[in-house]
Amino acid sequence: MSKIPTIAEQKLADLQPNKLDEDFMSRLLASTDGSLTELTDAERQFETSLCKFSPPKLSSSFDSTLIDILNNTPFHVDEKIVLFHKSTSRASAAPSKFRRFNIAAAAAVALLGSLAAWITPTPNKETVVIVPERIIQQPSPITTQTPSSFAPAGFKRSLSGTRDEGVIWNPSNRPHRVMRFTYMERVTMKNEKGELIQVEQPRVEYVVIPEKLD
Amino acid sequence: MSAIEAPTQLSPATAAWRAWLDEHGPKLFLFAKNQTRTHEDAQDVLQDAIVKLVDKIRAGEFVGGQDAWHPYLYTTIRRLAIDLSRKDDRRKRREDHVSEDVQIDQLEAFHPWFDSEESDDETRGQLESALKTLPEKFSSVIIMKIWGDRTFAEIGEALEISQNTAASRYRYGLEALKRELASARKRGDLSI
Repeated sequence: MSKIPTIAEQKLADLQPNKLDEDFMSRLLASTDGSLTELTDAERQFETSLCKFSPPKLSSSFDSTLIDILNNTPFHVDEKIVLFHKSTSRASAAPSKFRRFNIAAAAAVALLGSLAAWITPTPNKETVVIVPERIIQQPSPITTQTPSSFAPAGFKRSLSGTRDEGVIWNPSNRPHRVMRFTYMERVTMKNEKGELIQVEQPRVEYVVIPEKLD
Repeated sequence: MSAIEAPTQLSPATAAWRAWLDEHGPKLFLFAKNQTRTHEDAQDVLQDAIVKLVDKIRAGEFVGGQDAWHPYLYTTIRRLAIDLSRKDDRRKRREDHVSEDVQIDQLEAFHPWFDSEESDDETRGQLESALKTLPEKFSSVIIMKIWGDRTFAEIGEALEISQNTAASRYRYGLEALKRELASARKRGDLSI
């Protein structure tokens, strides 16, 4: 009784598992060297012949159903560019750039207006010259001065920064990239005594460039 | 709003989604058909997968950009199809639908899996039939690789297998497909 399992075990131990067939052996070897995922020429050829068949377009009713689902969902073109819908996010996102532009433009116009008023002769009225905060070269103390005594003596503009503001879409659905250029403008004015006043002001320009999206 | 004006008034996002759907919808739908039993089931599964994607995007929970949509959709389609299949199996155990499979086959004949020139219609039919005959684990890899433009790594991720297994299944699948098509090719019925 006690020998029966031993005999059975011996017989089983005498059995040898089948050797791996060549195909399977090749597959295992290929998986170790990473070549398993590379196709042979014959496989590529067959693959190409299958590619000439393509799945049909979605039916118009099913397509419409899916579009309804996708409606009001932002479309991520890439990490930086996200397309929004007119009625929601886009309406609030895109104008903000223009709002900033308008503010910058209004500020620039106001500043130029005040500068023009400042240098325009007004002989019958004494004007207090307000020295701007950014003065590069401190002139001699000026308290009261007639504007006519100062005249523009120089102008210089330098680019101080650029920034990519992203892509906007115009009303005809064409993408445009908005670039922001920041300039520093410096106006130098001189009076009859040779005293100098330099005024610096930043200036922002938005440039809209047609953009090609793949 | 007239029908002619409608396309020009699409928002950028809607226009982009439409273009995306035109390009990728048929490929995803083919995979959904491969994973389900009927045309209608495939529509349900694809629609549900897109709803899930949209919900995640809207909630800001989707990690990754457009490149990550495909793996997500393939995985979701597969999972939804498995869920649907389990429900169907439970239903079939409760009900006796002897002739259901025959009816399904007849209905599916109206929804071909591929487009083809008229002269290639027989080839298309043979190919579709051969693909449907293949075990799903082979046909799904072939469909994702050839018509879904997925890499073995991406297929492996979607099907939860290694890329080597995906490549092996692809090879076996192509071989099996060749064998299925061999007789037709000998008869000269096929041009591939």
